[in-house]
Amino acid sequence: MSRLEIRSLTLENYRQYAGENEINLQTEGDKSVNVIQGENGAGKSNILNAITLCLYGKESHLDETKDSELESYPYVNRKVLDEVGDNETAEGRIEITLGEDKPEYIFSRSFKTVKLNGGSFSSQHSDLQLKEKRGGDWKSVEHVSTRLNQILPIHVHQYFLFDGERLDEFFGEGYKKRVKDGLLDVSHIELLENGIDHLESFEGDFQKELSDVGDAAERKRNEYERAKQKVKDLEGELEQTRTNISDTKDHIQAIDDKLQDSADPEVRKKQQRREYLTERLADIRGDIEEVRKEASRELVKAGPPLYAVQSLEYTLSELRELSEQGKLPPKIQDTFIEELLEKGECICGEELTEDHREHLLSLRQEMSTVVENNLEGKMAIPGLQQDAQEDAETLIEKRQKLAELEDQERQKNKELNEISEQLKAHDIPEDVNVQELEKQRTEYEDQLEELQERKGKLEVRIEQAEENRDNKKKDFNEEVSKEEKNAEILKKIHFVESSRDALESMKDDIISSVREEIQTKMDEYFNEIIWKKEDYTVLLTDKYQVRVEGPRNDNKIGSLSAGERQVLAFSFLAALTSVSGFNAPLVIDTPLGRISSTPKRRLAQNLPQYIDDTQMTFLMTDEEYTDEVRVNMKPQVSNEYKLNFADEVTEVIPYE
Amino acid sequence: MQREDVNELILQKVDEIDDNQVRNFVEDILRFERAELDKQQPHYKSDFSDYLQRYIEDWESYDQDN
Repeated sequence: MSRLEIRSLTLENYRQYAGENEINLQTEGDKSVNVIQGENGAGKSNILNAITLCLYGKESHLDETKDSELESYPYVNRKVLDEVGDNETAEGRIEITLGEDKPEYIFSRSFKTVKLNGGSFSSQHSDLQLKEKRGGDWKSVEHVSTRLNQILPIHVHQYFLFDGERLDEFFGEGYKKRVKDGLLDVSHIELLENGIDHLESFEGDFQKELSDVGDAAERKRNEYERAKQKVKDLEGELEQTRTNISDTKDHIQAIDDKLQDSADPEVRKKQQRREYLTERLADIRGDIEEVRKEASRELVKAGPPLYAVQSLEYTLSELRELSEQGKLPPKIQDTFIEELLEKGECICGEELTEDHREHLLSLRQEMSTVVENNLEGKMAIPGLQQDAQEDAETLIEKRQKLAELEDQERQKNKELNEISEQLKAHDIPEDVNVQELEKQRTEYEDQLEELQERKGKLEVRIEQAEENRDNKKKDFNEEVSKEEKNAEILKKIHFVESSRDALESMKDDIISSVREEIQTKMDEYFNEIIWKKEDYTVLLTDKYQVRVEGPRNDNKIGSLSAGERQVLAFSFLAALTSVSGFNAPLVIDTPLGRISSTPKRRLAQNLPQYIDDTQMTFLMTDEEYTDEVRVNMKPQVSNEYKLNFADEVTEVIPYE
Repeated sequence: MQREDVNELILQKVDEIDDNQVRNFVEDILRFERAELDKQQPHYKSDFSDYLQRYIEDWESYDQDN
């Protein structure tokens, strides 16, 4: 198996690392993991920093503590700096060798620190240098950032070079944007969006070329433009309404979480009952919709025979009466006519003429129809009556079922209203102001109902506006193509439009399938790592909301522990990496930091399997890399190192 | 466009486009966008015009539709 790996990392005079330290990280076969163990302060996080500084020119771990003018943390090792005088400079470099089966790229960046008077420092780094192996020779790459972005793009580096301990913040405030960005980044949606934008502008140029089209066409163009704008405006309104709906639901959820945390067991019980009822209500409404559809289908099927029931009865009785009276023509055997035609001679011996033949053929046709109709009528009408009877019974059953469901819906609504009224009347003083929260909740519920109605209306209006826009476009195109030159341009416009539509549809399909796949994998990983008696269901909605639902379908995301949130973030990142097929080496600082012992062991054991065929370098503390974790990880580990820190200098030594 | 440089899902979707001319044009567009991804404002119009010229002549769907 080949995977893109950091094959070696060289740190020269960087932070705790004095002199040249080359760390071999090349992995073998299924052993895709490296472990670097060290106590806090020994230089673990600076390994991650060294990688981001070398590749992207920034130390991700220290961003928030850095003083841009005078750094408190010099790049160059302090021991090395001790040996230079004031206003003198010491230098160092970081080098990363990257490749699949063999070294393919060497990234390097040098840096220097000036020792200023008064014990402060000023550090600077150089530009990134890159050498690429081509045909056995190492060649310098001219456009380094372009090449780097093709190999390890800067905008996704936070998904493969990160601090595990800070992952619990991932699902904190504003997480939906982070989830959305992650999903769009790994799906290469930016590529499609750029293509769509550029094609739109490209098409615009052709539209401008359609000049001098005459007054009539100009009028139609204006009408078309107005119709297009109308659709855009309505779509904007719809998007805003959807956002408002999502926000309102979040507000309701936040209130529900607070009520769930109430000190009063009665309030908690009512809240739990409400959550149960709300879920049931959603199920009942789904059933109502389904039964309504079934009833409509039955009505379409049963309708015609039911309306014709009297006519059928009358026809049948007439046929029977005529049959009894012998007034129905007898059945003439087809074989008798066939025989005559074949012999070409009448039973009287006369030869059949062409006229005779035509008469016989027409008689055969006519007789068979008349007789078959009579026979079929007698046979089929009772069958039709029977079917009508059965369809009518099914229809009645469906109607009854519908009435039952509607009754259940009323009951559940009534109970929900009662709960709400009881909570509004709750006057036991406690830390959670139940009355006020419930009042706000009712307001949000009303608002939600209004917004949903508005959304429905907007969707209908958009459909109508789109139809109008398409008609206006057709009118304009018809008028303008009267000129041959314009017809050519219109063809180009249509071609570009078709291509843009293809890209738009690809974008929608990919976002939707990536979202579903991430949801499935997150659900699988989270449950495997956390493992509780009751399964949790992890959902990723189309609005990028993550729900962790317990057995009562309530969203637990707000009440997860820091360790559980970290596992959830890991599950998301692992799913993201797995779904994207993005082949980048992972470097994770303190991957198990906040996670409790059992999930810690499972995460250490399972992560390499989740992120198949990816090199992983874990920077772990002694508390994380316990004997138990080590034993569980052993089959997957290629290199193990310990960081020994003493006297401002860290030594990287292979594990015993 | 190096196939491994672009998400496999996108490549699958491109392959699903029935219209040969549109599919080839879209592939060219994506190849261009992939190469220019890190540029703020790539000059795309002349490249797009070349791609368009390559496929518009043989494009029959328009004549069928109109």
